[in-house]
Amino acid sequence: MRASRSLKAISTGLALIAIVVVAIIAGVAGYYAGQSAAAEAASAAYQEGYDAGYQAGLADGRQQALQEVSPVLPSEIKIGCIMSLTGFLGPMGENIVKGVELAVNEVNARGGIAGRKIKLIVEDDGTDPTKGLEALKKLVEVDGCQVVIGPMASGVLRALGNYTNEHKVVLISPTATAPYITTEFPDDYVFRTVGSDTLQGKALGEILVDRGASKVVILVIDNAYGVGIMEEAMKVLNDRVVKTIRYDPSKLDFTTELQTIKDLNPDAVLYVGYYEDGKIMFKQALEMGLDNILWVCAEGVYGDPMFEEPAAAKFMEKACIGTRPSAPVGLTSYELFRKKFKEAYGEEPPMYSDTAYDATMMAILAIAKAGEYDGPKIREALIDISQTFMGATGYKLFDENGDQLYQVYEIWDVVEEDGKYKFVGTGYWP
Amino acid sequence: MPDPLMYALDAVAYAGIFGMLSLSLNLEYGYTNLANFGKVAFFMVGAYVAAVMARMKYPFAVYALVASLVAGFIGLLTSLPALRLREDFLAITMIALGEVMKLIVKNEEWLAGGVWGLSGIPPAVVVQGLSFRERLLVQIALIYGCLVACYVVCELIAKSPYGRVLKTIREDELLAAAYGKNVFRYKACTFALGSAVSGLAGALFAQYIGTVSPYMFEPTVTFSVWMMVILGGPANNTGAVLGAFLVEGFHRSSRLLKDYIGLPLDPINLQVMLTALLVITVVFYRPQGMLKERITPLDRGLLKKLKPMYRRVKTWVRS
Repeated sequence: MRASRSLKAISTGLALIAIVVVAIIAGVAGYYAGQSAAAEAASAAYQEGYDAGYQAGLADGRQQALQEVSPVLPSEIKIGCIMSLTGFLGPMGENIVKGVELAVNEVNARGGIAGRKIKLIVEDDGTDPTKGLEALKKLVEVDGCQVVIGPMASGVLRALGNYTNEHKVVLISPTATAPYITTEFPDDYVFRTVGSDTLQGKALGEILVDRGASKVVILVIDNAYGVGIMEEAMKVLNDRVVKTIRYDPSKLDFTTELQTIKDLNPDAVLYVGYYEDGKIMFKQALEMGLDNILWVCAEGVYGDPMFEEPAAAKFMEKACIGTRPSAPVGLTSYELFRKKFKEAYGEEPPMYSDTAYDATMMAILAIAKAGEYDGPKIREALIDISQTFMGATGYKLFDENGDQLYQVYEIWDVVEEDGKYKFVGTGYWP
Repeated sequence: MPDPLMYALDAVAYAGIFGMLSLSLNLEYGYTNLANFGKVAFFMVGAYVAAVMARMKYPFAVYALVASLVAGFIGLLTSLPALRLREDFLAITMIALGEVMKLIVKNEEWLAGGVWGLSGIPPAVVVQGLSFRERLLVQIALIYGCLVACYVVCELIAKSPYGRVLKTIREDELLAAAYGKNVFRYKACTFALGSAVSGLAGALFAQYIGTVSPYMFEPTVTFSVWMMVILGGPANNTGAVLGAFLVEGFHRSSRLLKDYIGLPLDPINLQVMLTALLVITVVFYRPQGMLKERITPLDRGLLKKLKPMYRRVKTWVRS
C-alpha cells in the first residue's frame, strides 16, 4: 500500500516534470522557429523588392544606397507597440492601434526603411502598470525592439519610464497627457506626441471662465489623468470652484456624486472621464435632470462609443461641450491623413489615432535617419526630426523634456442630425 | 539586443514574489479555510510601506521587516471583526477591504502620492558596475531567499501541532472548540501571519518594480493568487509555489505564443477564456490541485540533526 502510494507520487511528479520540460522545449523551439521563419520571410520580401528594383534599372543606385545608409540595420525592423486593448482604456486602444498600423503599412508599401520591412508587434497592457512593464520587457528582451509606441495611460507610462531609460529604448506615447511625466522623466528616452494636460487644464478652465461660470463643480475620474487636469484647471478657476469630486470609475453607479452636484446647484461642471464610466454618468445625470447646467468635458468622452447609450447621447447633445487635442485648423496634412485613414478603415479617424500615426511616423523616420537600429542613436535622430516634422496633428517639436511644445485644442459640441448624434467642432483653443 | 533569457528570469522573479503570496493564502485558505479575498490589500500595504521607507533610504532589511509587521498588524486588526463572519461573508468583506485600502491610498495624497503613486524606489541591493543580467540575478537571489524562508516557516507551521489545530479548524470548527482550542485566536494569528508574508512579498515587489501606484493593486491580483493556490494544490506548500510558477508561465507563454500562432480569436481574450477553462477543469477533475495534501509529520530525522545545532547556537548567543 505504502509502496504503491509512493510509486504514484513519483509518477505524478514525473508526469509534472515531463510536462514542464516539454513546455520549455516547445517554447524554445517555437521561439527559434518563429525567428528564423520571420527572418526568411523578410529576406524573401527583400529579394523580391530587390529584383523588382533591378529590373527597373535601379540596381546600382539602390545597392549603393543600402550599403551607405544602413550597413547595420537588421533585415527586419521591429517597432513595438504597447496599448490598452483591455481594461478601462480598452475601447479606445483598438482605434489607436489603427493609427499605428496605418503608418507602418504605408511605409511598408513603399518598401520599408532602406529596403527593410517594418514589423509591428502589438502588446496589451490591460491599463495596468505591472502588465505594461511586463509587455515592455517582452518587447525589448524577446523581440529586441528599440522603439516602442505607447503606452496609453500616464500611470502605465510612469512605471515604464525607468526601465526605458536604463535600457535606452525610445518610448513615444501618443496619448499620455499627465503633466507629471515631464518632471518625472526630463531629458530622457520618454517622448510624447500630444500636449501635456497643463495646457488642456488651462483650456478647460478658460472656457469655463469665458462662459461666465461662477460656481463650478469639478468632477473627475480618480486617476492621474483626471486629477492632473483638475489641478491645472484649479489654477485658472481658483475660487470659482465650489467643490471637487473624484470618482471611482469601476463602481458604475454615480448617483451619490450627482446628487452632491445637484444639491450644490452650480452653473457648470468640469468633467473628466472615460467612455465606460462616462456613459453611465451622463445617463444618470439625465435621469436626475442635471442637463440644465453646462458640462465641459475633456477628450476622454470624445468619440462615437459614447452614443451607444442613447440617454448619454441625448445628455451630451443637451448639456456637453468639451475640448480635445487636435490638429490646427484646416491643416492639409491632417486632411491627407484623414483620407488615408478612411480609405484603409472606412471610417473617420477616431480620437488619438492621429497622434499615434504621427508617433509611428516619427519613429520610422528616426530609425531611417539614425541608419542604425540602436536606441541612443534613434533618440538623437528623433529629436532632430521633431524640429522639422509636420505630422497629421501639426508640428511635433519636442522641448528639452521630450514634451510637445505646442498643442491646439478643438472645442467640440454634440449635435443631433436626422436622429443620429455626432461631434462637431465649434472653435479652437488658444 | 534581444535577450530572451532576461525575460525568462524576469518571469522567475515574478513567480517568486507571487509564490510568497500564494504560500500565505495557502496558510489561510488551504490549512485554515479562511477565504481571504483581500490578499491584494496586504500586498499593497507591504509595497507602499516599503516604497515610502526605501525612498527615505532605509536599508532593505529594515523596511522589509516594517512592511511585514505593518501588514501583519493590519491583518490582525481586520481579522478581529472579519473572522466573526461566516466563510462567504468573510470573502465579500475582504474584497471590500481591498477596495477600501486602495481608495484610501488614492485619495490621501499626503500619504503616498495619491493617484500618482510613488516612483524612484531604489532596488534593495545596489552594486555598482553590474550588468542588467547580473542585477536581475541578485534580485532573484534576494527574492528566492525570502521565498525559501517563508516556505520553511509555512512548512514548519503546517507540520507542527499548531498546524494540526488549524487543520482541525478547517475540517470542523466545533470539534476544535470542543477540544478546548480557542478557534478565534488561532484564526486571527493565522490571518496576521498570512498578511505579514503578503507584506514581505509587497516589499519585494516594490523594490523590484521601482514604482508603486494604486492601479497595480486591482482585485485581479487577488484572483490570480487564488488561481495559483487552487491549481497548485491547497494545503500543500510545494503545490502553492508550483501554482505560482504555472500561472506566471501561462501568462507569459500566451504573450509569447500569440506572435507565432495565427488565431481567429483575439489572443488576449483567448487567454482569459483559457485561464477560466483551466481553473474549471482543475476544480472539476482534480479538486485537490496538482499536488495533493500529504499528511506526513515533520521529518524527525532532520529535526534530530537540527536540534543540537539549535542548542549550540543558543548557548553561543547566551555566552
